Amino acid sequence: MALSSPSNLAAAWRSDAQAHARRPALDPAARQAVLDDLALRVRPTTGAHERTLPVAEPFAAVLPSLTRGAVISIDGPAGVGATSLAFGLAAAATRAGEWAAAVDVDDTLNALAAQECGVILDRFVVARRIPVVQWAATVAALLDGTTCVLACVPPQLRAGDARRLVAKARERATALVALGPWPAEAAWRVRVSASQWSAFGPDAAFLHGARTLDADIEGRGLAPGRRVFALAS
Amino acid sequence: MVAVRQACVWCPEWAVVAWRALEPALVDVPLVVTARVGGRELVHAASREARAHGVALGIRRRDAEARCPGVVLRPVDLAGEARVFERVVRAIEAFTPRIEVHRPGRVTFPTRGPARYFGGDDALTAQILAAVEGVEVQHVRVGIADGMLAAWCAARSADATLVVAPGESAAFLAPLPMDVLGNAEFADLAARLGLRTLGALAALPRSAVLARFGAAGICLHTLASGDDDQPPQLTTPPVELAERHAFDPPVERVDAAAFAAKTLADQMIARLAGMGLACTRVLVEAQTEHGETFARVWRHDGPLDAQALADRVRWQLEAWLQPDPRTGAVQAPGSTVDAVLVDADAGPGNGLVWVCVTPDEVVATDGRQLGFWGGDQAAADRAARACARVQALCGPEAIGTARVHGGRFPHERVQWVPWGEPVDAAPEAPWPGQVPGPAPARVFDPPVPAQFSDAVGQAMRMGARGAVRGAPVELRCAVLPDGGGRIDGWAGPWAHDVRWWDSATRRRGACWQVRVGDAVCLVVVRRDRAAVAALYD
Repeated sequence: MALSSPSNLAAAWRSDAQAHARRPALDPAARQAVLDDLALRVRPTTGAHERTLPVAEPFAAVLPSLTRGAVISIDGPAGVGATSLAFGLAAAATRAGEWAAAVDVDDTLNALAAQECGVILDRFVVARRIPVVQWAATVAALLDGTTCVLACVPPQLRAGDARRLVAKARERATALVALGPWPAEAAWRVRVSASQWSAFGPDAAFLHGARTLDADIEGRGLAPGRRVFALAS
Repeated sequence: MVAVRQACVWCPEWAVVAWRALEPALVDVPLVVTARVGGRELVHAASREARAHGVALGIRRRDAEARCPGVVLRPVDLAGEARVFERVVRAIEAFTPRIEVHRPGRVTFPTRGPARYFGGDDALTAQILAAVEGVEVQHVRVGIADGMLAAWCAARSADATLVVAPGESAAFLAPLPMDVLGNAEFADLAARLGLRTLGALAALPRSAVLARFGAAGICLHTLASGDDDQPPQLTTPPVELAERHAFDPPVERVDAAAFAAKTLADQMIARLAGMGLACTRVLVEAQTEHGETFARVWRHDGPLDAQALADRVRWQLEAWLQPDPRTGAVQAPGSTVDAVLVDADAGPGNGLVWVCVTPDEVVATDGRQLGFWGGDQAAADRAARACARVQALCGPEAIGTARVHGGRFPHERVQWVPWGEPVDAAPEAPWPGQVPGPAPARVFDPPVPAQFSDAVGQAMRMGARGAVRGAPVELRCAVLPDGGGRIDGWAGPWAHDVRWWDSATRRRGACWQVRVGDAVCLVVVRRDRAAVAALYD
């Protein structure tokens, strides 16, 4: 209302300009705060968090995120849930719109289970019937082109081949999930030792319900020790 | 815009004609030319004898063999087709120099000059028919109309010749179905909107078509109205776009020429891409040691990519270096100079000195826009390259994607599709008789034999009436930790009787979910044999 006439507008503008001219210099602490705020706004857009992909809910309890370029070794006796956990980690890549690949050694991986663990099958390629002598070359080729490679480790893998794959994964910024005994370094090693289904026994008509895993996990930023994880089904 | 009056010369079933010209033994034999489309071999062209037995285009090779026993099969050979087609092109070249080859079997050219010279369209078509039959090619069809599409449709619907009067093209096109536009996706959509003919599309206001279908729709609307989608190119593309390759010493061998064709095509496409251009019509020129110059124009529907361009240049060079046997005037490579008769109707007859590829008509390319941060398309391209590499290492079946569909047992529910082959979506339908619960992470196909026994050590078995007695107590199998042992819990059995109407493939049995220690597995019993079919890992 007060600014409606031209003379009032000019007066307001003048008083504003005078206020700017009389603004006192900031004290060093306030100046530092302003500069910090500015640095936060113009920081580079590639942060450390962009090197990780969040793992979806049931498996996030074991490993909250999948780091690009890292090797995660998952091992354990047959039937206690190591494969499901590996599928859960591969799902993190496909859920983010990236591609994941699996290298099957004995042609037993079930894509339907992968889908139930959250993997989007449109962006999940599986190499099957791979000759053992071509295993390392196949994994290396897939490390070149995808974001996460789930590799079933053949028993006779040489440590030298494994070390080369570790270097390749780091160079291509691709996560390598090794399923089976891994003879080289790994950022995280998960050993699943036992699992329980909440609803399976004399009172359950069929297998269903939640699953718990007992696993030892060691690696970056973790205290060693046995953990028990509950996986919602 | 007034459409240019065009003539289209079309040889139906050119693939069959070309094979018969290359192998005279195939004349009067039922002949089918097959092409591989996405892993299936489909009929690409069929001779009249084969059609009489009910062979249709697009059916599978197996079906063609079943309908016409004794049919002779040949694969598509585009280079051979182009080589044989060269004589037809030369015969038509006597009438006009402005010939555009679309693909082997189909050429177009503007008729204004030749029609005036030969006394009208009807006289011209008669002359062309006589000329083409003079080089022993039968059943040729000629269509003349305003615009490329109308001429092509006229040739397709003609008995031998069909001349659409000037200005009548729109009326001629109006009753034709939408498929002739060659855009299957649009034809499908238009049919669902009630637009079944080109006339119905042309009757819509242009602004409405633009609003609903965008620039691509306007282009189709223009074609349906009987006009050309692109105005005639009046300016010559700048000379520096031409790619020229000199041979020293001159080449006479087809493989050396093909190698040069690939290099030329790659260089030209790369240079055009750098200028934001793509090429739809290309002029291939070559000169021989004796100074004869040959030139031919190839047209392509849509921009040419490097592979398509290299194919066309190679076909043309092959056609010049080794014309089909009937032309006969060519001599063996390396023959002496005095034996060379320079014959304008024959091939060069000696080595090529240079080859020049000129983009005759260029359009602005819209290119491919990647996502801001690389995007989905970049990731998919990267993955495709990695998969191709694995296929090169271990064979085409080595890598693929999974397709989930119905099935009773875990191993039946996943179909592996090799990389590069089309994945059709599976129908969603209930499938009674499945074992309930989550999907097992590991599936053994075939199942691993196991010992599955009850409290007194007897193997679990299924009776003649499908009944199962007793409770399982022990399971031993190689895939279980420590070879299996005492059963800690179980669920089931789920009995099944698959294909009971066919004694040869009938399977009866029962499934159990069994827990041994920490491992849960799926056990299948058929008669008295047990096996572990899957592991809930």
